[in-house]
Amino acid sequence: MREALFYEEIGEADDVQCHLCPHHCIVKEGDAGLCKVRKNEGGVLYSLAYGKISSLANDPIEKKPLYHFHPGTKILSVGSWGCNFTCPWCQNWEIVTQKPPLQKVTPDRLIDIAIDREMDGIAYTYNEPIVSFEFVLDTSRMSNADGIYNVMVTNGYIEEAPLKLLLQTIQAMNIDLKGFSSSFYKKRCSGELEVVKKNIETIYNEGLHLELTTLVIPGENDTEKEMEEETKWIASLSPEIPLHLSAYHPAHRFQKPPTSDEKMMALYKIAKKNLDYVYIGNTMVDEGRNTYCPNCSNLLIERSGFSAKVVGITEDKKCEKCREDIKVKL
Amino acid sequence: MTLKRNTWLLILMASIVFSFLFFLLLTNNRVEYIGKVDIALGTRVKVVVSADHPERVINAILREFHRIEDKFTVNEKKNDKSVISRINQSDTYPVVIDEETAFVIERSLGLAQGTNGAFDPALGNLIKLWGFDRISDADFEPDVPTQEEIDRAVRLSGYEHVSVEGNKITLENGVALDLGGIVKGYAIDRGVEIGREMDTDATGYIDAGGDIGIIGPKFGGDFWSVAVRDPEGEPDDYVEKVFLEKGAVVTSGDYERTFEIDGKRYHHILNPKTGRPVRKTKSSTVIAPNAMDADVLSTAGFVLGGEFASIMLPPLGGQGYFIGEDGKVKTTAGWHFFTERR
Amino acid sequence: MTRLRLFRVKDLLLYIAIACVTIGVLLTLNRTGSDMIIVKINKTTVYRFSLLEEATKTIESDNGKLMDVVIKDEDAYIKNSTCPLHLCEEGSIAQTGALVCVPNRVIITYDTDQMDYDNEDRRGYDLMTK
Repeated sequence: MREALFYEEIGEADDVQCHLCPHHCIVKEGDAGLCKVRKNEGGVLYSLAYGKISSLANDPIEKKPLYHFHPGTKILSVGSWGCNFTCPWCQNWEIVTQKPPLQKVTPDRLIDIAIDREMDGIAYTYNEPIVSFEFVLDTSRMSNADGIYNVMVTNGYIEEAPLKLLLQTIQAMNIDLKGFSSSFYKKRCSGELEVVKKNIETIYNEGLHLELTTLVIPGENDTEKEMEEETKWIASLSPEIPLHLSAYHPAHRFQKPPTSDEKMMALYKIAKKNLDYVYIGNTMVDEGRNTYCPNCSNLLIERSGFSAKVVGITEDKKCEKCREDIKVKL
Repeated sequence: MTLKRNTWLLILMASIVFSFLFFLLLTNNRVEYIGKVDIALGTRVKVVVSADHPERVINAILREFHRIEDKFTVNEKKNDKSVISRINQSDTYPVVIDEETAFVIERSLGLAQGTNGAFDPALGNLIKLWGFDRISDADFEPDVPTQEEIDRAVRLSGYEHVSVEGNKITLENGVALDLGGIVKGYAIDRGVEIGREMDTDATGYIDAGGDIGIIGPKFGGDFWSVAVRDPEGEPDDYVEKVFLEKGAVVTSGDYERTFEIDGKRYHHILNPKTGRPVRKTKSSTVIAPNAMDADVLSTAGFVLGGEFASIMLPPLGGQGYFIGEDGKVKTTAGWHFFTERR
Repeated sequence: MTRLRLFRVKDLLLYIAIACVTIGVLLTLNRTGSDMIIVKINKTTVYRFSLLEEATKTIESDNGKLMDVVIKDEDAYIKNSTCPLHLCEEGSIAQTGALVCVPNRVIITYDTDQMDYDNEDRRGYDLMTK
């Protein structure tokens, strides 16, 4: 088993304290942390997720969702199990809240698979990749050497020091901004909004490609006021950061009916006032699919389902019509 | 004394009449399932329906099966109505196709991509070489092709040489389509759709050679209990039972379309890379929201083997149960959800 | 008090007769026809056999003999089929619910279109995926 990073022995007994994320779980011998996959055995903290895969897929990169990063290409997506949040509507609860069937895939085996399938990138997703920290770090270091880029789809709830390491080997992140109220974050997810905001800022300033996703949940985080505040804050970092509004569907412990199209459209309109690129996902709504130039509204990228075609951007990343600089990595 | 006998006889009469009426009452309220068995798409098709006019629904479903068989199956000796034959035999590309054909082929290509080629709709030359396209014919003669013939057919195969743009399809590299791995699932979905369109309260199922699509829950609210056949046992032995009220379940096995030569068994699920029957799996069962996906994913699962199938199928919408050649069972993370009445 | 004239021997016999007829009707209604099988060739019903008589029946079409159907222990199975792969010879009608030979276009089912829905009690499941 792989020994974990970012923990220390504490006290007299075989207790340890984990420092990977702000939970700073104190883990007694034989127990695991809140995330379920960092376990104390004999006073040593181990990563149960290391080299253990629950999900593997050839995905269109649009599915992550990443719309401004190598659009129209495929990415090898991989997931393990466990998470350091507790959202009751978890859309991947089968691999987050319990130990699913797992297959052994070491970092170099995974990279071999990516090369074999002619994938230019690997996405760490499905469950929360932060809790598979050591595996993500090892694999992304090795894959960079092979010219393969790395993407994380994450809740952003991580401590500064481990984040610094990831910033060196991850090229793009999609961060779930679960909502914009501290009490929502604490009560529903067992997380802290301010930590996620700070990390988003750090990641943006470091120059990684960044896109944000908010799962819109009826009665929980769907007020227009909250969306106004959220998008104003994102714009204060940069109005060019793409925001994906995703419609919720019943899952796990939450059975309210799905987010209505009307609600999605209302929040979309508010977001578009403050941000250049807003998208709607997980629903049949026709708007919020394509990418248009924020300056002249020229169609830049056309999307249907999860397939995408760049139609209006020049090779030097400008709008073909008005020559506006477009925030995209082709 | 007489009075006692009177009363006794009266009670006896009343109870007989009462039980008779009670029995009639029970029979009238009982939901009746009507079933019919036919042959289509090279297999036995059983349609079981409870509806206002069950015979009409069943016959419409079976007619749809025959229409799809005529349109989508490749059997050069029998079939000139086949759109697939027309595409395969065309001298020039692109070929114009109708909406339905485009839909089925595009879905095939998407799933071929997603399963990394484990399911491949362009193995026509390989399948024809082995004869699995004619395996249900009365004059089928089983034969094992040479390594050279297999290598050549493998070179002339591959979904990467098929492209669909709108209503036009192009085949390159001399490849040929064979939609056998998706067409049964599509027919089941169409059958379920037709059944529901004809009677919104219709319940029942379609069983096409062990590939199942649910029309509606049992008695309008209960689960259908579906046994997963034991590949090694008697025809009615099962290894697992799942409970479904909607959706589909499809199994691919090494015991279905097979022939034996010199003591070796050859079945119809080929490894697209080697051109030979896959040996590492005995059976692959997949539950999915529709039969088309379940059909494709069960074939893909068989070719991938339980280990890869258990991690690759859930992101594509399938939950599966796989038995390896060593008898080892692998399942996907959400499979156990279906093995209990929930 | 009026005396009901129900107690004379004639009347008693009448009541017994009514009872017998009722029971007879009940039994008839209960029959699902599951001790008869029919054999269809190319969608036409050609043969009808009772499962209660042990026998080996020959199934023939205009092209000659197609197969034998063996009836034993109130069950039936196919033997000696002329089809290339003999896939139809696996299992009996009690095990699989219907016997089908695809190359010969033969379908053998119980002589009823009503499906048993108490299959689950009888053999543990409603239907089987294979």
